[in-house]
Amino acid sequence: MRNLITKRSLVAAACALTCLASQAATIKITSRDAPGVGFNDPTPAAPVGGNTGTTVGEQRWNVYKYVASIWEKNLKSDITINVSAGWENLTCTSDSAVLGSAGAWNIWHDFPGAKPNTWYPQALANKIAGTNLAANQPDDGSGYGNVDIKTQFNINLGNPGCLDGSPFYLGLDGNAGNKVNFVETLLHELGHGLGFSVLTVQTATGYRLDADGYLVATGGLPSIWEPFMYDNTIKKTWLNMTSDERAYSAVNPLQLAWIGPNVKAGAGILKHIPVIKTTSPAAGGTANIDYNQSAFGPLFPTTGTLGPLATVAPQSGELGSGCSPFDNANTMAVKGKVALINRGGCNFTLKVKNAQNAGAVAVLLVNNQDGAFVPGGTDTNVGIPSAGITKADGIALKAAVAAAVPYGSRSKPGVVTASLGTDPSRIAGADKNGNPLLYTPSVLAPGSSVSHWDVTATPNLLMEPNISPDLTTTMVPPYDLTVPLLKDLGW
Amino acid sequence: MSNLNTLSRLLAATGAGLALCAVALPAGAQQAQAAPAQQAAPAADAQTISRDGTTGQLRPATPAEQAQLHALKTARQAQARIAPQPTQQKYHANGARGLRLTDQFLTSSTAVRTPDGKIEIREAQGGAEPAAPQVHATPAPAPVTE
Repeated sequence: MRNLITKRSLVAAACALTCLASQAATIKITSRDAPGVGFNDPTPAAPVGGNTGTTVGEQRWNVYKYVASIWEKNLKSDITINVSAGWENLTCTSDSAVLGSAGAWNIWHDFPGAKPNTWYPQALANKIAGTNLAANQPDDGSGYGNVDIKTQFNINLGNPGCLDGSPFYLGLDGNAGNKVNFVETLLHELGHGLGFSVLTVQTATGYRLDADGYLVATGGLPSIWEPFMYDNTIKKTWLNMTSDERAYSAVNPLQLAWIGPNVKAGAGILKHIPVIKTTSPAAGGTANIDYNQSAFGPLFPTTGTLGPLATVAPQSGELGSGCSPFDNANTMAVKGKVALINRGGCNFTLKVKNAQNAGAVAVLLVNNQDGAFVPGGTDTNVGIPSAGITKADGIALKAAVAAAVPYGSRSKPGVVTASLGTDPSRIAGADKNGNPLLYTPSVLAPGSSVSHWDVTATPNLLMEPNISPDLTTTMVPPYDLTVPLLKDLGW
Repeated sequence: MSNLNTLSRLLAATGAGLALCAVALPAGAQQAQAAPAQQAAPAADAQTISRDGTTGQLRPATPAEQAQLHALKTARQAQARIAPQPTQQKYHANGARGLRLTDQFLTSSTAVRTPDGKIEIREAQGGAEPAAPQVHATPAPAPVTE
């Protein structure tokens, strides 16, 4: 009987917990647009990419609803999330345009269920508190002063004088072509509004907002992000840093990691860093080389043999290595091989095309100064892959090529062979402990630094500062880490 | 409704412009004593895209082009003659305290047409060119052509 009572109690408790559990979130979008503009634009539009709207305004609204529905399926909250949306006459010229902006519009601290003295975005605060903290708050006169998230986008994009001919793509299928994919853009921006942002810390100074909303050099209230932000150099979380330390950490490349448990559990989706592996019969010729693919020509395959390496000798009268059509000696040297060509003297595209014309299968462009670089340029006639490598690696590879020669015969000299693989000790977008890295370039990018995943993450993630065309609308592993981070915050 | 909408646009434009001004301040000036959030908060990122005059393709705005846009914003602000929208404190009966933020706290994205004609959408930064995509963990600058 006692057992039965216990069982009944457990069942009742489980039921109670189930009943108390949050339901899928509801997102309410409210337009700020006047009649006839923005969401109310009556201009006829042909249905596109699954968007069945028949006016520009209706299609804009449909994208908002579609993106909101994606977020609703990924979050749980008993409190409706309110989003204010408007299409505005933002600054632009024929060649440049402000697309828009979005973010949390209200923040709270010390509500029921909150970590003490910690700033939260309102949508998350409401979910944790189980009540709408903005209810009964006086409006600021704008009519949307109590919303959770405020968004605005450029109403003129694509029109003459505003990035002519390149409007938002309002289809839902991701086939944006050469237009601006509004679904992915809005998905990303709402992510910031829901909490994917350190928000209340000024990254330039490390100052926090205090309880009254003032930025202060010492003290202040931490952002809910800070306990999860660990700097591998300073060996502290942002929560335990001084303002100066936070400012340093914000520009400490590849050292600021997210250590929340949900992200950690999903971090296995990040792949190991691709490298060029070299093998040689001579000592010292085996190495893993970092590279940056050129912005032109085909990409390297992810695995497989690239080919034997070949150096290119200087030619008389050339402006720089590889800048002139290859002479017979260099043509013989690089045919069927991977050409090592120094940077300098002419465009990268010319160097690679000359190597291609000589029969090279790929080109490694060696920097002529310290550091890494991305070879840029445009030439649709380039049909072989190429990449930039550091000056130090280039010098080492050339030495290895020379050292390998005696290990063959006169007719078939020894070679250094390059293949493609990954570095087992390094993960793209994560630290040595496997914790995903936040974006902290050495030159601060206010609003972009810190509040995104690092651009080195592979696969590409929704909340990187660069929204990639290969993203999906799935925000959980094995595709993405957006939702795990939000769960670490309390979602 | 129309007037309200116009007002909100002007307020938003003014707030964003102030944020950009804050970015341009010397570091020493930004690290002065405590300042109201509405005066020194993180910059609102302009989602800025540019069409290359030579290739006709979309790409990140150069600093000069962004400066041109900033100048346009500044001119618009001068015409607007409206004070920046301040933050607003809030109090809840359960003891919670809140703050209504400003446009300076918002973030955004940039669309870019790459040399091969594809569109990239990136986060923009006040006065700086967005980082180019990288394939591994070696820090690298934006692509260079020679």
